[in-house]
Amino acid sequence: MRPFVPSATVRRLTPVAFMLLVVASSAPAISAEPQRALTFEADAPTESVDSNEPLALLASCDKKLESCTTDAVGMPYLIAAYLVLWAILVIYFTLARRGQRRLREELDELRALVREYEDTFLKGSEGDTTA
Amino acid sequence: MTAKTIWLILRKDVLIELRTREVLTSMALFAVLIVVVFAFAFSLDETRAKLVGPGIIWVTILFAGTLGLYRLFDRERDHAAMSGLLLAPAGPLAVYIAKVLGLVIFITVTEIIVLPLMLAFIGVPLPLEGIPLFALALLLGVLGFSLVAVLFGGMLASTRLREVLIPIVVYPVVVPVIIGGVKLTGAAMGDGLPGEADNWLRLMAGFDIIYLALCPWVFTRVMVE
Amino acid sequence: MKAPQSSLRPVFMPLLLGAALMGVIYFVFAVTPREQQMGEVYKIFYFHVASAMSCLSLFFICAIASIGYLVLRNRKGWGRIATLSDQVAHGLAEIGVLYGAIVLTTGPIWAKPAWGTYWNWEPRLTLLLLTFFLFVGYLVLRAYGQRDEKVKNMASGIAVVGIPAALLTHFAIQLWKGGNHPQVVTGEGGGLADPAMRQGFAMAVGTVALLAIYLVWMRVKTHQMRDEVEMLFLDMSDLEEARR
Repeated sequence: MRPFVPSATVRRLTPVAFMLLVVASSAPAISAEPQRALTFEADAPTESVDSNEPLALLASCDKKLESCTTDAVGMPYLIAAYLVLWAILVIYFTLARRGQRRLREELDELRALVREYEDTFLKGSEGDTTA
Repeated sequence: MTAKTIWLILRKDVLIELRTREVLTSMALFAVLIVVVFAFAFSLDETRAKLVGPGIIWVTILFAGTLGLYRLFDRERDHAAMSGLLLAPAGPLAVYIAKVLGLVIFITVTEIIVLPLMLAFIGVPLPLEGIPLFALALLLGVLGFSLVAVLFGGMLASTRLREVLIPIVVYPVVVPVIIGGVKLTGAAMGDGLPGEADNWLRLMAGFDIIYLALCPWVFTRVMVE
Repeated sequence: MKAPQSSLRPVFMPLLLGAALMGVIYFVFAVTPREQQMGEVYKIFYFHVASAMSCLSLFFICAIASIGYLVLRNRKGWGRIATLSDQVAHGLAEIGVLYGAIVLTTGPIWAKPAWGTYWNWEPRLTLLLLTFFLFVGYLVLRAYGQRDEKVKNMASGIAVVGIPAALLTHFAIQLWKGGNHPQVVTGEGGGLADPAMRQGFAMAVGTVALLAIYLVWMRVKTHQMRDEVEMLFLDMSDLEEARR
């Protein structure tokens, strides 16, 4: 039975597909972030604040607002950092992989060539000895 | 045997230098020019001089030392003189030690010529009681720099990329020495906290000891065929 | 002609590792809590520090492999191990520089919102920068002469000398100024208080290290193939010589 060999196009597209997959799957994690950051406040003590005391309420509001601003300011940096992380890894991997594949092709060719040379050389020397 | 070979190589370098004077003149001239450029670049006055003066001195030493290093090994490149030297009876170790001593001597002589001029140009006051500390810092710093620089200089002298590669690999390694030198020079000029100088001296001495042990080993390992 | 599995199999590992990395990122964003002072930006930390740890470990192991190469290269019967340790050292340096690039780009991106500046001369950042430069020099030298025996020796020398320098630089800069890098891992800065944070951090460190191991292995294989190509070229020229 003939073994399954993906065509050249498939092989060439694999890294691209991988890249797309990586970007696509990390995108929700990143883009989902701003909403969660705005709604989720682990450290703002909302329950403990007495709603009858305006000053405490105001303070808790300030705190909430402050952490929201911190997150809003930091968000582009966070996204940029993760994009850079992925970009560096994926670009490097793709380039290294391509280099490796070329090298492998070169190696296969060379091996075949050397075998061919050896055959002709051996034949030639045998011819010499018989002659 | 080793001592004699070291002495012979060192004597050869010094004799060539005494006859041609090309290394010392180029180093000294270069050092003075760097200081002049810095003086313009920082538009130095008295308060700024105290701040950046030590840094300028050490950067100058670093650059002039690199220049001396290039010249020291340029000589050995013609007619594959380096391979001949490495075949000397005492081997690469003698070559390494002789070259380190040569570089230390060259930098020291350059400093003796240039430093008074530098201090005058920059305008930093060096009090008399600060001179021993300054001299000690210079000695430790120059030794540390030479140990590393000669190792890489000797290794990379035969490559085509040496002018690029030598600074790339030497400067990151000698950073501790440069920081220590700058700090000690500042202390000698009456800057910084009192107990601080001891720590920096210890750091520089530690650097010198570590590289005194490591560099000869690496040099012999790398250069032996 | 081509072996069928060779074109399929190599994609498996990177996919697995990529999935693991994405899993960790998901964990970091979905499970670990928000840090109180720095806010969400804090989440750069997980991969920044994990990459930095891997990066320095790679450089350190590279130095050890280089020592191994320098010691063994002239011993009889150890030639193959020496060659292998040289190839491994080369791969380690390459991936170390890659990770260094990650650390040195995510570092400033984190530093800007967290400290207000893109860069400050803080001990560990400077240490990494200088070691990074040293190993960039190492790779430049390596690229200059692939199979040259002398180049291999020189590169090993650079790696061996670099490591004590890195430690001394760290020490020197710590002496120079206190530094405001958060001492998160040792716990002095109060970070990683939450168990989920510690869990996420451990996961990040593990995944990043595994990825490093895989990439190094890939590079080692590439170097081995390159060496074989060189050798086959030599064989061919020998054969051609003999045929004349």
